[in-house]
Amino acid sequence: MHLKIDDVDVDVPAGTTVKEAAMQSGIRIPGLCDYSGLKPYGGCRLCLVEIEGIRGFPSSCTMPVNEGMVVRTGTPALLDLRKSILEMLLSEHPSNCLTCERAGRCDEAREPMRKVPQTMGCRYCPKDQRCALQETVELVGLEKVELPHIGSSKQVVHSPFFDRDPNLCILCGRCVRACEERFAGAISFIFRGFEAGIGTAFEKPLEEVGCRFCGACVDVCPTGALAERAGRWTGPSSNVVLTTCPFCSANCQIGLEVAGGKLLRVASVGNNLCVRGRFGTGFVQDPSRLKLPLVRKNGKLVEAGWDEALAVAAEGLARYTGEQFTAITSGVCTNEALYLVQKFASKVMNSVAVAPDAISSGIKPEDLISADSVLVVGDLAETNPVTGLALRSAKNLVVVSPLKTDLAGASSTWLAPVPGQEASVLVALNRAISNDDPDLNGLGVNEEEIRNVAPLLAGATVVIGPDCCTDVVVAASRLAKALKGRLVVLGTNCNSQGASILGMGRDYQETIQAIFQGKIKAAYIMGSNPARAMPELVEPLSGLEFLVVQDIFLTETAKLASVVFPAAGFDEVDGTYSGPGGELLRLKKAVEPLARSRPDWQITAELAIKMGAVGFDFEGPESVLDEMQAQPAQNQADLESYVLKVPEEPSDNAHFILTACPSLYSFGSGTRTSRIPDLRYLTRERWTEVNPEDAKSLGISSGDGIVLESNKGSIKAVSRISRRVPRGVLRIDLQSDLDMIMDGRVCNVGVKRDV
Amino acid sequence: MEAKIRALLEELPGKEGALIPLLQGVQSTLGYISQDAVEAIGEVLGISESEVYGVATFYSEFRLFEPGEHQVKVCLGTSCYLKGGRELLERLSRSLGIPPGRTTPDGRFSLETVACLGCCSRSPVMAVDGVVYGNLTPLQAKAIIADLDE
Repeated sequence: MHLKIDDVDVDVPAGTTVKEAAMQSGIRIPGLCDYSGLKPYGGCRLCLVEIEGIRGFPSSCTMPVNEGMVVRTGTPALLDLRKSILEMLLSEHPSNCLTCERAGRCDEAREPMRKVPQTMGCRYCPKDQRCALQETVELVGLEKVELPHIGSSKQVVHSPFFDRDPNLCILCGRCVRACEERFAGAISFIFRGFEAGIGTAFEKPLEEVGCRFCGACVDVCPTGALAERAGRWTGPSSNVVLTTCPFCSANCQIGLEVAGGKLLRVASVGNNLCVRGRFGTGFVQDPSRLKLPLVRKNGKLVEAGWDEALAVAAEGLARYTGEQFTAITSGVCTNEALYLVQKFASKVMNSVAVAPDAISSGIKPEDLISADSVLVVGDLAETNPVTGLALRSAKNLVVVSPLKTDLAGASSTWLAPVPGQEASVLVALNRAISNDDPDLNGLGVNEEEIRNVAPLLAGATVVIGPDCCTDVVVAASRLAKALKGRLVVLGTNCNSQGASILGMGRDYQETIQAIFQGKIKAAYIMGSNPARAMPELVEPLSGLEFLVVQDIFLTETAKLASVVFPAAGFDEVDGTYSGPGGELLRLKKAVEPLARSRPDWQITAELAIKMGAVGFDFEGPESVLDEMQAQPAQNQADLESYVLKVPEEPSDNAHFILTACPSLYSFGSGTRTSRIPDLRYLTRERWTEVNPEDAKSLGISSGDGIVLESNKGSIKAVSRISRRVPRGVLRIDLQSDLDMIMDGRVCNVGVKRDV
Repeated sequence: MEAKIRALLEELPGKEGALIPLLQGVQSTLGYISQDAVEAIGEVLGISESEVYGVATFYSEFRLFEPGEHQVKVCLGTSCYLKGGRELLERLSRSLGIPPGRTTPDGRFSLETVACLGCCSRSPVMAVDGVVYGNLTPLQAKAIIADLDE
C-alpha cells in the first residue's frame, strides 16, 4: 500500500495501521492506549490525525491504511486538539511535576519525599522516568494544565509482586488487553463515569480470579498505576542485560535491569514471561546467600577462606575413588559447570556425575506451534507456562489430562482419564491407531472418544510435560513412533537439555539407590538439593563420610556437608544453557559475584587443580565450552526396553482420588522460589482443590480446614473450590512432605472437615 | 447456579449477546446479581468473572448486593440534587454505615440512589419500600429509618 504521511511517501503492507506506518517512516504520533502486540483500542484520542476525504479526526492507531491515503499528523488543529485532550486527561492525574517550569531540573534533595503515602507528582511516583505520560507531555508540548484538578483518593490495591494505584490510572485499558492476550481475563473495566476503574469481580484478590502474576499488565502500564514492588524506588536502569531465565525448560529470554552494579528488577524483552521469570529471580538478592566458604570444625560449619576450604575438600575427597564416590548436580547449572563436574568425577575421582534430568528432547517453540496436530500430557501452565501459552494457538490441540488445565480448556479435544491413568490412555490410543481393541477398563475415557481422536493424530507432535512419570514418557514415545510424529519431552530445568546431552541422567536412580544402601562414602553435590526434594535422603546423606556441597544457599543438603562452597548466582556468571533444540543460550553476567562467591565451573576447576589434576586450567567459561563441544556425543537414556507398570486400581473404601501436581509458584523442591516472599505467600497454605459439587456435598467452602486421610496416614490441608478438578478428584500442590500420605503422585483419600 | 444459568441460556438464541439478558434473568429471579451468579455466567459463556462483573457494574440497572429487608432509595435527580439530595444520602449512608449500593451486614437495610422518582415538586425525596417521602431534611430522613429499625 502506498500512502503519503506529512508529504513523505510511505509503502507498507495492507493491514498496517496509519500509526504504525507513520512510526515506520520516522514520524512520531503520540498515544497512550496503543501498545505493540495489543489489540488497537482507540481510547486515549491522542493519536488523532487528519486524512483527506475522511471527516473529522480519526484515531491513527485503529485506522488501517488505504491505497493513496493522504495523512497529516501535525496540523495546528491537531496540535491544539491533542493539547486539550491531554489536559483533560491530566486534570485527573497528578500533574504538578509534568508541567512544572523547573521540570527535569528538580533538586536532587527532594528524592526522600517519595516516602509520602500518596503520589502527588513524578518525583513521588515509582515509575518516574519510566512513564509514558512524561514522554507524551513532552511530545505534545503541553506546558500548563489550566483545568481544575479532580483529585481522587481511591485506595491503592496491594497484590503479590505489584500494586495498583487507581489515582494514577488513565483508563487506557492496556492492562486489560494484555491480560486478555494471556487468556487470564483477571481484570476488567469496572463501574462507570468518575467511578470507573480497573478491577476484579467483587474486588476479589487477583489470585482468586485467575491471575497468574505474569506481570504483563505491569509491563504495558504507561503510568505509575501498576508498579512492581521490587526495585520500586530505584529509578530507571542504566542498562538491561539480556540473559536466560534460570527456571523451567522454556528458556525464555529475560532482561536484567541493572544500575550501579546492582540488579534492580527483571524486564520483559518484548516476549511473554511467567511469574517466575518476571518476579521470581530475586532469590539471588536474598540476604541468606552464602558469602564465604564453610568448613566443618568440631561438628559445626564455620566460615573459612577459599584456600583452606579447597585444601580441606581436596584432602577429604582424595581418600575416595571409583564407586565410593559420586557427584550429583542438576539441570539448574550451566553447561560449563556440568561439563567440568562430569570431567572432575571421571578424570579425578574415576566415577560418574549424575543429574535427575534424564530425558529431555526439546523442540523450538516456533516448530511446536507450527505443528499440525499436538497431543499434550501434563499441566504446562504450571510447569512451562510460556510454552503452554504458545501451544494454545496450535491448530489441532489434543490434551490428555485428568484436570481441566488451562490447555485442556483451550483444546479441540480433551481426554480426561482418572488421575494416574494417563499412560494407559496413550497405550489405548496406540492400540486404536493399529486397529487393536483399546482396553479402556477403569480409565475414565470411553472408546468413542479414543476412536474419534485417533485419526486426527497422524504425524502429531507429542508433548510430554516435566510433571509426567516415566511410564507416560515411554508410552508417549511408542505412540509418537506409531503416529510417525515427533516426541517432545520437556525437561524440568532450564538446562535439563544440557544435562541430558551430557548423559548425566542415565545413572541417577542407581546412584540415589547406592546412597540409600550406604555404598557411597563421599559425594560432591553442586546446584542440587536432594535433601529438600527427598527428605528421606537426609539420613543417608548425613551418613556419608565426606560431603562437599556447592550452592548459593546453605540448603538442607549443604547443612549436612563437610565443606560448603559459595557459588555465584545466575546473574553473576557468563555461561550457556542448551536450549530446546540443542542450540546454545547465553547466560550473561549482569553484576559481580556476591561477596566471595565464585562461578560453579571455576570452583570445580580449582578443586581439581588442588587435587593435582591436569587439564583443568581454563581461561574462562568460553574455553570450557570449546572443550565440551569437542567431546563425542553421549548415549541417551534407553526407552525401548522399559516395561510399563500396571497402574493400581482405585480402591472402593476411599471416596476421592488425590493427585499431587507441580505448582507455578514453587519450582522444583522450592530451594529458590521459597526465598521470594510473595511466592511464599501464594503457597502459604496446603491448598487442596475441590470440585464445587463435591464441596457442596461435603459441606465445605473455600478456606475451610480439611483432613485428608489415606492408607498411609493423614495430613491437614485447606480447601479451595475449583472448577479445574472433576468430581471425585482432589488436586494438591506437589510438596516433599506429601510422603506422609502417598508414595507416588496419586492415591485414594477420604476427606473430612478439620474440627 | 450453573444449572439455572444454563436453563436461562436455553431460552436465548445463543451465547452471542447473552450476557445482559442472563444478568437480567438472574436479577429478576434472585433480586440481585450474586457472586455465585457472576462466576456461573462466566463459566457458561466462557468469559472471565471480572468481565461479567465489569458489564454488571456498568449498568445502574443491576444490583450487586442482596437487597435488605427495607430498601431505601434516595433521589439524586436534578431537582433533588439541587434541593439537598446529596446531604440526605450522606446522612443515611453514615447512619446506616454503608456506602450507596450496599446492604447493612445484618441484612436490614439496603441503600441505593435513583435518578428520579417522578415527584420533583416535593424535592428532595426518598422512597422506602416503595413509599415516597418528600420535602425531607437529613434529620427527618434519619428519623424515618430509625422508626423502621425499632
